[in-house]
Order: sequence, then C-alpha cells, then structure tokens
Amino acid sequence: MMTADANGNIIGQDDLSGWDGNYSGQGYPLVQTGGLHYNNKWDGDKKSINLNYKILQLFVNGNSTTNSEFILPDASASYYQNQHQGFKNQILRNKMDGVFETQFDSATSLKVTLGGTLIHKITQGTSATQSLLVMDSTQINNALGHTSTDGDNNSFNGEFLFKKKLKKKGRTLSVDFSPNYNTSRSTGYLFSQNNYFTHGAPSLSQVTDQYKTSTGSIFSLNTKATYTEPISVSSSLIASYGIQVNNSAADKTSFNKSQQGKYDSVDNKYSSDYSLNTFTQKPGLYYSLVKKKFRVYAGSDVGFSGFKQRDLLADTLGTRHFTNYYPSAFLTYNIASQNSIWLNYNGSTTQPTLQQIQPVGNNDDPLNIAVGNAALKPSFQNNFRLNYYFFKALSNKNLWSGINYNFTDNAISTNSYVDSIGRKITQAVNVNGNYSISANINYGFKWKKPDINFNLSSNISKNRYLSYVNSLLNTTNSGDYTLGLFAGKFKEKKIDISFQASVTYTNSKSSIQSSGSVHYWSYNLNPNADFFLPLALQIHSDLNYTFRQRTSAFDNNANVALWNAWFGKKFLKGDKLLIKVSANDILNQNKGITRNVNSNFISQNTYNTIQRFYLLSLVWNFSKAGTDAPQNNGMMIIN
Amino acid sequence: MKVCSILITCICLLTGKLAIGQPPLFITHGQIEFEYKVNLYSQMEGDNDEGWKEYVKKNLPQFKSTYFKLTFDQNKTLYEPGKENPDNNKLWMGEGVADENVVYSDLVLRQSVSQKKAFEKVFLVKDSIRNIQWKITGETRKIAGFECRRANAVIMDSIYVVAFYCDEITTPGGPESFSGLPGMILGVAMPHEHVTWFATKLSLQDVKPADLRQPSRGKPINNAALKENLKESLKDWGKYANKYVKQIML
Repeated sequence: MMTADANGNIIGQDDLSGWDGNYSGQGYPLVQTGGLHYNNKWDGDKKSINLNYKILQLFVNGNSTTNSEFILPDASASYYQNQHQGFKNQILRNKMDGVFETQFDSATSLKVTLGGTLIHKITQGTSATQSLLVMDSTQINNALGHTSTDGDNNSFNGEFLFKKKLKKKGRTLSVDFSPNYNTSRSTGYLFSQNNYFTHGAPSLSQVTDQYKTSTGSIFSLNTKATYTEPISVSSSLIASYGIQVNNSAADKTSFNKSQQGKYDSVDNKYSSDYSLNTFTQKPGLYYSLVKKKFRVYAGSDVGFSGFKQRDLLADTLGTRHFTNYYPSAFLTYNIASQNSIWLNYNGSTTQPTLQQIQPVGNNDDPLNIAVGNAALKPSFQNNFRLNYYFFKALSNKNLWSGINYNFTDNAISTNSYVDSIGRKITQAVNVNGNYSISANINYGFKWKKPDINFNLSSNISKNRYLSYVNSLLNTTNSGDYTLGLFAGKFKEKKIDISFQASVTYTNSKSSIQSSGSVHYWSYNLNPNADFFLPLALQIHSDLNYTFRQRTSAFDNNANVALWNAWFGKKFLKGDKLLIKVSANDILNQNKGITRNVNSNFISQNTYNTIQRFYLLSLVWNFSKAGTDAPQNNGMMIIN
Repeated sequence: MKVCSILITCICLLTGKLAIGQPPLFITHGQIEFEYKVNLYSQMEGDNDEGWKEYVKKNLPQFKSTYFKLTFDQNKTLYEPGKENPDNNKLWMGEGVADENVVYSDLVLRQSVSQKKAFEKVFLVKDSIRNIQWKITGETRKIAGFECRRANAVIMDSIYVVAFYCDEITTPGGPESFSGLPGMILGVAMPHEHVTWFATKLSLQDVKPADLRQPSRGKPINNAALKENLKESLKDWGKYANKYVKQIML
C-alpha cells in the first residue's frame, strides 16, 4: 500500500520483504561492486560534465533474536515476546547518473541532472515467535512464519535547474523542473502458522499459505520558480511558487491454494488495487536582511493539496483537500567576529496518511493488525532552536552550545489494544502534550604548558510522549543525560594521541506502569593513537570500549571492547600512495545489539554481525592538484 | 583708453582664471579615500582541495573591497576604516584580519600607534615606524587624478611591495605602515599576496589636531612581542599560520 505525506509525495511502497536493499550491520554480507567515473570541462570551463556508473551485487545472510516486554495497564496482562529470525537476501543494482552544467554567460546558467537505477531483489525470511505472560510465564501464543519475494524496481529521475541574474543588482530568477518515474513488480510466498492459548490451553489456530503478486508505478513532477527582488542594499524579498504532481498506482493480489493444490484462488480480503493522484500548489514569500551585525530571514510557504484515491476493486473514489503551513524565521546576531547567536523557528503541518485513515487489509503479520481512524486531524509541529558559539583563535578556546525545543499540537500517536491471545490492534489517534527538549554544550580549550587540547561536552534530552494503551492514556517521560571529556596532543608528523570518555544515564517512565521505570548507565572509553615513524611509516591504534548496565528487562551485559590497528607506509611525492595492513576487532568482541526503550514497550535485538577481520589495502590519490597530505588541524576562517 | 581698459580686463580675467582654476602646487593636508582590494580566489592558492576551490569560486565574488580614509597634515597621518561596503556583509568567507586597522603615524618622530584586531583580540601596537628600503623607478601611473611614480621594496624579509607615490602631496606617508617616499603613497600592491590599496579620491580640507588623534583601544604591545604571541597561539595551524601572521604584522 502506498502512503502519501503532507505534500502529496508518495512515500515508498511497503512490500512483503521488509528489506531496503542495504547492509546495515545485521548479518554477514558478501559484496561485489565496481564503477566508472568520467568528468570533463571545456569551452573555457563554461561547460562541464560528470558521469558515473555503478554496479553492485550484495548477498546478506543472518540471524537475530528480539526479546521484548509489553507493559500493559493491567500488570497481569503484561507479556514477554521472544522472536528468532533468519534471513537470506540478495540484490543486484545498476545505477547511472550524470550532471551537465553550462554557463551561457556570466548571468545565466543551466544544470541538468539525469539518473536511472535498476534493481533486482530476492529475499527469504523465517521467524519463530513465542509470547509468555510476565507474571507466571504462561504461553499466550506462538507463531512460525516464512516469506520469500522476487522483484524488480526501476526508477528514472531528472532535474533541470535554470538560473538567471537580471539587470538590477540582486534581482534573480531560478526555475527548477524535476520529473521522476518508478515502476516495480514482485511475486512472493507467505506461509504462517499461528497458535493462540487461553489460560495455557490451545484455543485458536490459524494457517496462512498464500502466493502474492504486486505491481506498482509512481510518476511525480516537481516544479518551482523562485524570484528574488532587492528592496535596499541590504534587504530583499524572495517569492516562490511550486507545483507538485504525484500519480501512483498499486495493484496487490493474494492467492490461496485452491482444491487442485495450486495458488489460484483470489483472496479479496488481502488484495487491493488503488490509484492515488495528488496535486499541490505551494506559494511562498520570504524577507531577507543582511547587515554587519545581524541577519534576518523570515517568511512562510503554504501548501494547497488535493488527494484523489480510487479503489478499483470496490469501485469507490475518495477525495480530500487540505492546507498546510510552513512558517519559519531565522535570526543571527554577531557579537564579534566568530562569536554569534542564532535563533530559529519553524513550523510545519503533517497530514495523517491514508494508511492511518483507512488502511488496506494486510495479513503479513497476524500478530499486528492496523485499524483506521477517519476522524484524524492534521498535526502541527513547532520547533525552536537557539545556538551560541564562539571561536577564539588566539586564546585557543571555543564553545558550541544549543537548545532545541519542539512541541506538537494534535500529534498523531497510537492507541494499542492487546487482546487476550496476544494480538496487537493499533489505531492512529491525535494527542496533545508531546514535546521534546534537548540542550548541548561543547567547550574546547588548550592547556598551554604541556600543549594538550581538551574538550568538555554535555548533552541533555528530555521527551514526553503520549499514547493510549488499551484505551488508557499513557504518558511516557524519558531522559538521556551525557557527560563527555576529550583530551589530545598533536605534534605534526610525529604523534597524534587522544583519549575520549563519556558517561550516559538513560531513564524512561510510563504512567500506566508506575513500578516499571527503566533506567541504566552506559560508559564509553575511546583511546586513539597515531605514531609517525621515520621512512614514512605510520602505526595507528584505536580502542572503543562500551559498557552497558544490566536492567530488569535486559539481564545480560552488552560490554564490547573493539580494538582496531593498522600499520602502513607512504610512498611517492606528497605521500599520495599508502599501503597498509590492518586488523579490525582484534579482540573479536563485536556484538550486534540494539535496545529500544519507549512508552509501553522495551526491546533488545541481538544479531550476528561482522567480527574480527584483516585487510591489506592500497590507497592511491592520483588527482592532479595538490602536493601535501591534508593537515590534521588546518583551519580557515569561515564566517 | 579703451584699448588700455580692454587690456587690463583681459589681464585681470587671465590672472583671475589662474587664481581660481589651478589647484595649489603642493598639498600639505587633506583626506584620501583608499580602496583595499583582496583577491579572494587567490587566497586559496596552495590548497589541494580542488572541489572546495570550485565551490568557493561559484559562490563567492572574486574580489572583496573595503574602504579606508587617510587624514593627513604635514607630519602626521591617521589611517582608519572608511565608508561601509554593504556587499561585504553577504560574504560567508574571506573575513580579513586587517579590515579594521587604525594606524597613527608621526612621520617626524618616526613613531606609530596601531590599533589592530587579530581574531578575538585587539592589540595597541606602539613601535617605531618601519624603515623601508625603497628603490625608486622611472615608471609612472595616474591615480585619483595625480601623476605617481613607482617604487619597489621588500618588507618583512620576504614580501615584495610595489608602491606609487605622488610628490605633489608632500607628506611622506601612506596607507597602513607604508611610508618613507618623497611624497604621499597613493597606491600599494603586494602581487604575491594578491592585495592592493589604491586611492579613489582626495578631498582638500582643513585638518585640525583633533582629527589626528591616536587610537587607544587594545592591549599595549610592540611588534616583536606581537609576532611571538601570534606564532605561539597559531602554531597548530601549520602553513595557514604564516599567512595570518603576515597579514596582521603588516
């Protein structure tokens, strides 16, 4: 089912595989990749072209285990869910893109960007799940599932950007035209067996054995014209107008096994054929003022959108119209050179997605069912940011600090209802009172005598998130507090050593479960050393040690000490060639683990991932320009 | 009689013309506006990041102009920031370290007081005027309507300087710390540093002693100590340190 965002842009199409085609740290990858690059400039550098082609084949296999705890208002109904998953995926990707730029004269330019990507993806996944009551470990459900998919996804995109400086100084016009086209088709099999228990005794059993096909296409066009008119030597007005068109279609069919044993019996409950057309007009107006001591940039975009959704199976048509606002204001005050305050506000409207209002029947995961809410209102998010920074070159002191405050009116949250056999039914609802605040300070200074650089940092974030669990309002307050220290000594071409340490305290408390507040400490130590020896030799070593405290939900520590080192020699004038031997994760301690703590749900996901490995590398910088290797601490004043 | 009166009228008109139309032969006081121009693209020479250089060239103008005014009488000069250039506020790079210099020079006592802003600090540099070994050439050029003669020199051991002075303005001074030629310096170029100072106009005006007051803000220091201070603070900056030290020590 495709979903559309507030601007009418189609956001992807969820598919059965659940894999985005990239290696993200889970499992073991095998990659084969290669590419070509060409670029050239001619006609007195007025014309330039840049072409790239890349081919990639990726295979990823892996296993993971997810342990979760669902906290419900009625503590006797809270349950643990343990899931084991295995996957075997592969993807073949061909990608080509090119950029052509031409400068017609000193005032007119055109930039054309064209690209295309062809993807073939094959996935296979299995999972075994079991849910047990927290209070006495009685089983409430178990499930076995297997899915496989085979599909193609091809997309083509282009952008034409035309810019012109008009006669009057500061008067400019730019026009952007971007068409995009995407088609996809895939076939797959879904098998799942779900067993449900009441008071420990089997009560319900479901088997799903289906063949699924899906085809889709998205065509979108984005155009925007921007006109800047100077109204004084230091101020100007910027007006823009944009049109966005999105036309998409998605046809999904599920087939059950018929009497003959073939998958040719159409299951209408889990089949859909939708087309969605959206049209948005977006005018905007901004004011800009640039003075020596301060700068102002303020204005707003407004979006007028119309949605037209056709259900081709039920032969119905739904339309919606709405208006979105995007005000923003930006103010900078320069106290002195490299010493400024920045203040920023922006607001944006988010419309509920069609999936939240009226979801399509989906049996991919029988333990998670989505229900629609036709009364959903759009949410409006306000974001304030205040930053102060200074950079004192002669005193070797610098400071970077900021506060961010974000609150949302009518935020779209969820109401989860867990039935007696452990199936979770979710509905989107509006809530008021969501906010998040974060503050950070980063202060650097130098201890002159021993020539050591220090950096102190502190980071605080606090959030409040509202949701409904079994129709009870659940307020979750969570906080993250970090303190960090960095110390380093650098002597050009001799030595570069540093040590970094940080400590974090995390806590989260849900109102529906007063006893269950989750809190834990984690520490991180990171020493780093580079030694530059005679004969252009270099030794590098770094260690990253993470310590996570045990909590009631996660009763195993996840302490990891990752030690990497390499030894290499530089050749050629300017150190342009480096040959090195490196060892990663020497102590073989890398663990795949992520933790998620929020509202009424805590989970830990452990997975297999790349561990200790060795590499022999050759790095050659053959670009024509430049003679020196990049400076470690080189700086330029950028205002 | 008639011929006599016509003759007298003619002579009077001629002398009148001579008296009103021609400027004074030697100028001893007034105010000169200088345009200090930096070639921003050339400041990046020696950088090996072609992509960054391309990006800067696309998004920044090549030259940055800052205006200064030089008020002078027979023996003293005061060089300070002049009218604001609003275009400079829009630049996101290329902030100069010499953009707010105030230099007071007493050409008789050979002493100068300079108020120099270096990054976050302001220094009040009191020292003797730099002795420049000029080599005067035969080349001439017109600047701000004045005929100027070229002179070359090397300062601070390695910086090559070309200056144009005009002997119609008798004060032996010039912009920044440039002085010591038999006339006012109306143009300076440092070809390898890609910066120039050129006079744009001269206004003949009365100059009171109050117009030539010494600057007073900043931490008192002399040239040698300032150089030490800068080198020590910027020693981690590698080759960039030299560039900034040169600009500040000028």
